[in-house]
Amino acid sequence: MGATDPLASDLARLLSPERVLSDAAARRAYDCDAYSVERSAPTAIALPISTDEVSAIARYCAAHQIPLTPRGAGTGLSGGALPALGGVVLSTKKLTQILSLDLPNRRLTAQSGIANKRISDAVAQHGLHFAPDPSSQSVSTLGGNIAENSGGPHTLKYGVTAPHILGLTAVLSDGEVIELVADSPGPDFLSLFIGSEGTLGIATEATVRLTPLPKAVETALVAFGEVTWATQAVATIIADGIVPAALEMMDRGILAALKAAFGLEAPPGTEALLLVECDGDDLDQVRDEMARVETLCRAQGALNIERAENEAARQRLWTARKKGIGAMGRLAPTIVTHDGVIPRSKLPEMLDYVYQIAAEHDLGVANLFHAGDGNLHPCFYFDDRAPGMIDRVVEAGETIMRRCLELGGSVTGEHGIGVEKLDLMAEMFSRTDLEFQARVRTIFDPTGLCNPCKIIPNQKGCIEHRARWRGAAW
Amino acid sequence: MVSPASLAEFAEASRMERLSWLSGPQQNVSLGRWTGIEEHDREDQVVVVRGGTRIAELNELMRDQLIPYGVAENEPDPSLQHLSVAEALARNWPHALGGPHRSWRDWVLGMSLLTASGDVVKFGSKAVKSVAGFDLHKFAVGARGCFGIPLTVTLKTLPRKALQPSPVIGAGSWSRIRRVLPADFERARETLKPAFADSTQSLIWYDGSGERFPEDWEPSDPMNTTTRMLFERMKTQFDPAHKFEPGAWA
Repeated sequence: MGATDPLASDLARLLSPERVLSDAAARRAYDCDAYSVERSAPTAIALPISTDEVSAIARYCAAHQIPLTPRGAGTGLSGGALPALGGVVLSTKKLTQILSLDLPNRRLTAQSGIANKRISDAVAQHGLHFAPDPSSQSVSTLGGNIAENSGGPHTLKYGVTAPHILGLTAVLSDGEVIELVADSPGPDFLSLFIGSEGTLGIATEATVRLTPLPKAVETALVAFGEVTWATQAVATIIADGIVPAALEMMDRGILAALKAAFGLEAPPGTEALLLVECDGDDLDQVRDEMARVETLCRAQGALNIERAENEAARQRLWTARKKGIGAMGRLAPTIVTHDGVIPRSKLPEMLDYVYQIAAEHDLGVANLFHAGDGNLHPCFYFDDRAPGMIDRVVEAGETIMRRCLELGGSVTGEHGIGVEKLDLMAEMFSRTDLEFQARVRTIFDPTGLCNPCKIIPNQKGCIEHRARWRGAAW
Repeated sequence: MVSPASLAEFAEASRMERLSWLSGPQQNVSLGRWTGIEEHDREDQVVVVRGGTRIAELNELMRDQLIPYGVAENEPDPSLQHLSVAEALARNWPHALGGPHRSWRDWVLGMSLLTASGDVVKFGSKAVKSVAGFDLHKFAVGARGCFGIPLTVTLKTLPRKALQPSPVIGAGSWSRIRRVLPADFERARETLKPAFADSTQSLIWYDGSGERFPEDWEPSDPMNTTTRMLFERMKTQFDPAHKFEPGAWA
């Protein structure tokens, strides 16, 4: 702990010595996020406690031409918090205060390092919550959710993070502090900032919209004997005009993991489970909606439908969804979760393709995903000590992402581009498109030092460094 | 007035000194010949439409699906549905179904845009959820055409059977729209006596001027200081000669 490097010493003067890290262990801990196959160590890690301190760090870095990489909880899955060119990692770990709660206007202002779930916990007694609910919500931060425009199981009805942000304070790479407000006259710079993966500036505070908790919730777990029956059920539910709060799917790979880890068993013959949740303020209306969902699922050949009768039963049904990824640790030492989006109607075709690619690369695969949004998460499980294994995993993942593009989808639905998908951007967008997008950075980031080498491929100064960080963990 | 009907004609038009394409006395570019659906995936509820297509026309073509804009029975401004898709998105006027169905920022999935240099650039995708690249298609919402001309717009559609009733109440004439904080809504109704009011969006449609409330705003208000600074930088990057809608936001 403490400052041992000239850069760290300077930062310690701006903050305080105990809030600057530069020892080998800290540099190792901050050299990647949850996408751990690529690594690049920072020179120092700064832990500011206020917007003013963030601004002071940014001014210092701008004056000395030092790259600055913001980081929340480090749960990102695309390398967005990887300090690609070294320099300073600015951690929001100590920016955790709730600054104000305005119940009449249903809004809360907090520092950006607060964990997502802590916001909902703080207002639950008032019958409110912060609707974006990424699976990492117990640790992932408000600032990280803003940077990635995070989704979650309830995105289908409530939307991703953007519509729930009413305003934010951000520090630009030259230290300037700006405030962006939703729904104000003029071009929508707030929408541009949200989802920019920390490349446009560092959000330090945000005002979020608080959404009333629904008065009625109905949850059902539906078992299907074929994956295609489940995906077809998803298409018919949406086409019927129903917008469930959640529509989540798990395939046989996840079921095997849940059985191995927790002894959870699906009905015999189950190849896929569909978790459906409907909510609203009118109990009769919500029950009618769920009854309609059940009818549609039965018409698609559902083997079994289990409806939660109370909150405890509801939590039990959600166990399969929430513990699915964790359970995969029983199947292999390493898991890589991919993230791609396709039009919903292409789900059956796409899942077949995922199984085919996994087989061709001799990889285990399981799928647990947001079916209502067409947002796939193929999870490869493998032993990364096996020779050539990582290459096979990367190649299989990229092949699947290319198929997403061929089917009219996107290479990422919620994990972001980071460094993981830089190459795929060039397959989704033309050179002209990317050059135009690259100019967005200069509006906000005049120094070019804010989270460099992310989102836009082949940036000046990044190409030669890439070989260093790419594959560093292999 | 030029009225391009092909990408080549738009590229040719982009050489003009001024490109005012929103309706009004300054307009010199019409999208009236650039209309129609390019792609409608009924099952996935996604449409790719040319920017000049009027919303009413688009909704008629989509039959059992629609864009829920200007179509409510008690819409304070029924003329909204006669705007082109590109203009409605660029103006982003409030509407009666914003409470249950939100608005353009939530519907727009992607876009191709004619830039000041005559290039056509693409943002977003046809997927209902994507975080690949910067959301410039959302940035164009409410930008009043200063950023470029939306040539095609990719939108989420709504099944007609899922259309919710409008929460707007009232009747009568109005000249201004104001959004207030929820806590100020009742007081705004009492003091401004609006023709129409929507408690779900804290929106009122009213006549005259009247008292201002903390943090309220009208679509015609000037930009705040930060937005103005970023706007100037945006123009420098994307439209340095100020060809698109010169004078807007002045």
